[in-house]
Amino acid sequence: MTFYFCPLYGRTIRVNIVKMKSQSSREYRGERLQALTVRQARFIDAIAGRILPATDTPGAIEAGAVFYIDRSHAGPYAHLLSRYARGLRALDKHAKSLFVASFEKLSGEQQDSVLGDLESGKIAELRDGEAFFELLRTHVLEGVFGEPSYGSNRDMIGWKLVGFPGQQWGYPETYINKVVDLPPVTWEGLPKKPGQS
Amino acid sequence: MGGILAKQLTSAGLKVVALERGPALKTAEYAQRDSISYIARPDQLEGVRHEPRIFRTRATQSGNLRYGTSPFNVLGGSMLLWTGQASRFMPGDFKLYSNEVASGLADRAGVDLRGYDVVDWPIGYDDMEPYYERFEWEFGVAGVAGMNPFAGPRRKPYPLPPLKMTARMQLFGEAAKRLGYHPFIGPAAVTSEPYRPPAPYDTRIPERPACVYCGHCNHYGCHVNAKASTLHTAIPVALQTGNLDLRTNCKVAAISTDDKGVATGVQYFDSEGRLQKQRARVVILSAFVFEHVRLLLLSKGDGKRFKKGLANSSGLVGKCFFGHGDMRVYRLFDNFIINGFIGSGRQPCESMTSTATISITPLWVLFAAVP
Repeated sequence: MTFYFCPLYGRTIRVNIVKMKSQSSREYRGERLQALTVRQARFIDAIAGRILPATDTPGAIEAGAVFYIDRSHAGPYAHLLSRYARGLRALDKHAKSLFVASFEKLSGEQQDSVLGDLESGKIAELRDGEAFFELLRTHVLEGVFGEPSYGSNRDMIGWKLVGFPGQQWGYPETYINKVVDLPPVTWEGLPKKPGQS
Repeated sequence: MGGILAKQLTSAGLKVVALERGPALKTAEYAQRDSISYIARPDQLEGVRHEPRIFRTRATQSGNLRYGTSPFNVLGGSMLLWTGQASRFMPGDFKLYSNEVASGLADRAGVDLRGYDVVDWPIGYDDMEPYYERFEWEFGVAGVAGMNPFAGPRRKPYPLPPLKMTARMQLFGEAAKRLGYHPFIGPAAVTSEPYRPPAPYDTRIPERPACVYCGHCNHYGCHVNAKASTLHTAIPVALQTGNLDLRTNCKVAAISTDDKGVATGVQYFDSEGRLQKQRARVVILSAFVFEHVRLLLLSKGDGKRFKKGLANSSGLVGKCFFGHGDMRVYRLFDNFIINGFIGSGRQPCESMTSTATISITPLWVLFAAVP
């Protein structure tokens, strides 16, 4: 507790100095976060796990969709950060009102019912709830299936899920009704010819 | 189309100044097959971010800004990212009013054409035929002449054999035949073999390699230069004549006219953002339809002589747009592996009646496979 003279009020006021965590210390799953808080990352990861759950194949959590969303919000999606914050707050409040616990602590079915309310616009506090759900869903899927260079689709989990062999230079044949037996590849820039480093 | 015009005019000995509002990109800068950059959020691309669009069907609607890679404001334009669909009009397409309105066909079909201005073209298929042929042989179009029963007559076959059959083409073709239609392989401006135009076509155009069926034609650039673009054909040839002064990152702001109302040149912002003037005996607009409309409507001429803009005494500039209309059907096959990501962008297997086309063109959208 510290005392400061505040010129605005012409009085001495009490101020609590809250020590802000420096950006470099925001870590989630062993990686530095660029835009999201740890709490937000945990929340979004849980949501991603319901939008594309792991079954006998890995899902959005394993694909690291949260890291695509984090990095995007440090860049082209930075203008969406406040919308995310607002939406997540409302979602959390709704989860607590239904189940007395925060979203990440709920069971899968409970989480699905909370997200279902968001999807159908039933969260009264969030007027654009349906649109926010669509935004979340779109971003999770972008993260799962987009280029790994954007932060997600770890180990090409997303591509392997749909049988897409990644950024091949081309195909020697058109594989009509045949499984493509080429190992999936990723690239930074132009695709590489076979044998090219 | 500016690239083609530049080639033709410089080759005829004319001095041409070409003003391109965007940069000249290297292949590596436009041929990344990156669905995040080109599909999910193209607003980040240099050739896109300056030109959002709003689409409204009524002026009273509010519009949301949309960003897309067509038009693509770089040297070579959206032809760098097109599907390669190189169909000719059929003869009847030039006579839409006569064939479908005046004939009573639209009435019998119960089509409400109020508010639409359907007219016949002032030219016909026979006028266009030699130029279709020229495009097909200079840019390398792969197809099978005579397979489409409704196509117009042609003096010459296609210069290239058709591209390889893919799963979708096969399924579609077999189903269309069973239903009694006439599926045919649609023409694609994508090389099926290494190709260089032979005489009497423009032999200065360098050879291009064959398509490798990576499946990323539409919305993406071709990393092997199999898909036809002016950037690797017409534009280098035009530059080699020595008659082309190509200025990139120069945005035309208005067309200048003299006191007789004749176009005398343009005003443009150069790459430093300074307003410049360029005189010309002939001004050609080849910047895609939206930019043409803007320039014509904004160019009011000396002393606001043209209050409605240039070439607009009819009041029709910016009206009667005709776009792509399509309906897409997605189906999951339990017992057949489609591998829809393989093929040229124009996976052409089409079936037509004389008035409508049903075709398989695989816009390979990344998320289409997600159930």
